[in-house]
Amino acid sequence: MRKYSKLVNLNPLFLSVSILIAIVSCSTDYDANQNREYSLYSQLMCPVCEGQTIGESKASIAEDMKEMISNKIAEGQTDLEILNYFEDRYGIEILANPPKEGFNLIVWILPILGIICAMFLLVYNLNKNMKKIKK
Amino acid sequence: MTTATLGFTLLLLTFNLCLFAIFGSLLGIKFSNERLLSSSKNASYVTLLTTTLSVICLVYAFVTRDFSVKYVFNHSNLAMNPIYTWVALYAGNEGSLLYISLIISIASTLTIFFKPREFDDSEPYLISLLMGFLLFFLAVMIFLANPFATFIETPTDGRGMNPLLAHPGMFSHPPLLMAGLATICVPFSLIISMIFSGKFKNDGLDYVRTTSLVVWAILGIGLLLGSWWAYTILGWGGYWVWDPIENVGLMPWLVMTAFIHSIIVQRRRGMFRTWNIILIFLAFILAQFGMFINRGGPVVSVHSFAASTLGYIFLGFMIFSVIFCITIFLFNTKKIKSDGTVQSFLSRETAFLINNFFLVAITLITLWGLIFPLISELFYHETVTVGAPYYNSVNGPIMLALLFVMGLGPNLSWKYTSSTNLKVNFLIPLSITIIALITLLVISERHIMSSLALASIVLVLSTIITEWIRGSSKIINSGVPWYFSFFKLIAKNKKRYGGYIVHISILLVALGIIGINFYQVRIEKVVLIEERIEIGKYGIELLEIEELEFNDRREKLAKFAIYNNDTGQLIRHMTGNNTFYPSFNMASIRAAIRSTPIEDLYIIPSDFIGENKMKIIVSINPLVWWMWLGGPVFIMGTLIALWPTVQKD
Repeated sequence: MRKYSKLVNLNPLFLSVSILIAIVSCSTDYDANQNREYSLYSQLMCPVCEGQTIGESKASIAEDMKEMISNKIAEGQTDLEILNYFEDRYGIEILANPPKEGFNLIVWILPILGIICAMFLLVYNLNKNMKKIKK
Repeated sequence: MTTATLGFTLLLLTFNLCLFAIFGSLLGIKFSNERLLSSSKNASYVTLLTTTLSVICLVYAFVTRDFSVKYVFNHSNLAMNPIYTWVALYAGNEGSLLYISLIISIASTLTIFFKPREFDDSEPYLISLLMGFLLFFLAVMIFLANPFATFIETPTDGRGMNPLLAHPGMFSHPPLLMAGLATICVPFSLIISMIFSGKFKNDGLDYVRTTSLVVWAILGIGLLLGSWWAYTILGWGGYWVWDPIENVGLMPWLVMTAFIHSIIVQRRRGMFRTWNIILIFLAFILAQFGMFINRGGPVVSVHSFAASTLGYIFLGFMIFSVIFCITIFLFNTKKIKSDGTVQSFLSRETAFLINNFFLVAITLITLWGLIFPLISELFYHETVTVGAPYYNSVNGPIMLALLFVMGLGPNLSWKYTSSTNLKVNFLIPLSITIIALITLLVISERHIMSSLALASIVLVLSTIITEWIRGSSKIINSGVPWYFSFFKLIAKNKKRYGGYIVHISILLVALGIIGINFYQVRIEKVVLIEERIEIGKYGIELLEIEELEFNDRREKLAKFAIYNNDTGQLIRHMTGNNTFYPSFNMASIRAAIRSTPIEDLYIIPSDFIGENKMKIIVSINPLVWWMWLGGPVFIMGTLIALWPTVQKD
């Protein structure tokens, strides 16, 4: 029983889950097999439609934007340059995702911070309760 | 008297019945007046009759094409196929409110009628809560959005129904979703009535669980059907785009998922009481939030069916619900304290806790992404968009973790798991999973995330299957023939094995999501007639473009021949359809889909350019077929979990 309680204190379930999340968050291969073009389509909103990206939209302006993206990729521009170009022209709401800078950084950071804090609180409380029971 | 007047009179009658049921119940408790109590109960039953009759009035107005009724004028016309009357009934604001009232009165009647003995003391509270909820919808209809409002002069023809709604998915997706969101009030009212009567103990929790499961399943199926609809009628890009309206349906479902898990812990171990109350309050408030956003909330969405100025009434109701919940919570902290606490990290309680943690985390992150544009606008005066890539990259990993817990949790024991138990339960599944993970990593070099996700699916599946094998072999040893043992196993513990089947359906949905998110191949191209393009193993040739003119629409059909590139053989012909409705200035695009368990070939006729040229978007979506199979499996699992066990006296 003693030997076993040590094992329990390692919190293997928590550990394995945290490791899984860590690995996953480090991997940035989301959409990696996608052509750059199509991944850019899903990162730009159609300026005249409500709530659609240019990838989903059937509006002619979306088609024009798609063509511009193709040309810019052919010119050798990076994704960031292309996104910046559209942001300058149409304003920040053209981006499907808020940029990770300034005030908009909050939208990205808060969930991660929240999860970490909540997890700490949870484990702390559980530990406290379990100690109480042992006494 | 016209049908419209009759319908409205019935609404007024229902309104008064609700008021009587509420005050009758409350006064009945105060003065312990049995007759008043039973009379209020009967009044609550009668609301079912009166709401049904008023729905019949509206249906009758539709069937007889009574365009003097504004709602009928706005949502149907002479050309409309009568089978769409059902859809037209809830297609607009007023009608959907009437539909929701009907659902609430059905739900409340069933809940009150079938309530077990444990709820005798809390029944009056239950009635007044349910009737209060119904009262709100009736008040909105009577004072603000009357479905029976009429014109003085009767128009000759109506405006017709929104053409995007003319799809089989529309017969079930919106009504199921609305029913699911509205009936969250049932478990909510049950729990609150238990608190009020001071009996929030473990008795009666089975009933709460049953009702929650029904609500949760209705909502889940509604969501999946919505995805299926979005996938086949395109225009909205795929099966799920994290649109605000989709999100507000998903959030209550996620919280309800957490609730139906943690209520098990309360039933078995008397724990998580406070937490369960928070969950059901959260689910209820999020359902109100969903109705608020749906009816003209302040966010941008591709859905705009029922948009109206009514949104703020629903916001008001939501705020009222929040205050109500907090008040109840603060005044009853003593009554809702838990009996025990978690004793070990390696226990099923902890697994449930982690499951709840992740589900609520996904919910809150989704909520955060949904309201962030408003916050940014308010404090920073900058309009931003929070789109699908955000949700995918933030929620994706948590969903993966959830999948992983789903593999481990069910095989842990209550209180604590002994090391022998661990070995027996996890040795085989974990080894299988590790082998699978390594194989996957080797095969698909780059995809760490997708390999992990697929390996988690393997883990869940192998734990379920090993347990099935273990359980069945025990039964076989006791002399039952092998082909019968599996069913006997399920029958022995329907809740547990029904739950497993639901888990499998979640795996199927996950498989589809993984396939489309990680392995989709896509091309967009302008093609000429008789031109052939290649994608994967398919060769696609545009055969012809056909144009059809109808009274209400212009249909353009694109016919394709699909060849197998390796053998050069014709696989089949497919037709994509792009229909334009001038009177609505709306296009509905039906993709040509060839669906197989391995992959879907998906052709969107995006744009027609001239007579012999068009733009097509072709994609290969692996494994999506399994996602739709998940629906029937989900229903089956839920039914098994709900099937009553005959009590042996």
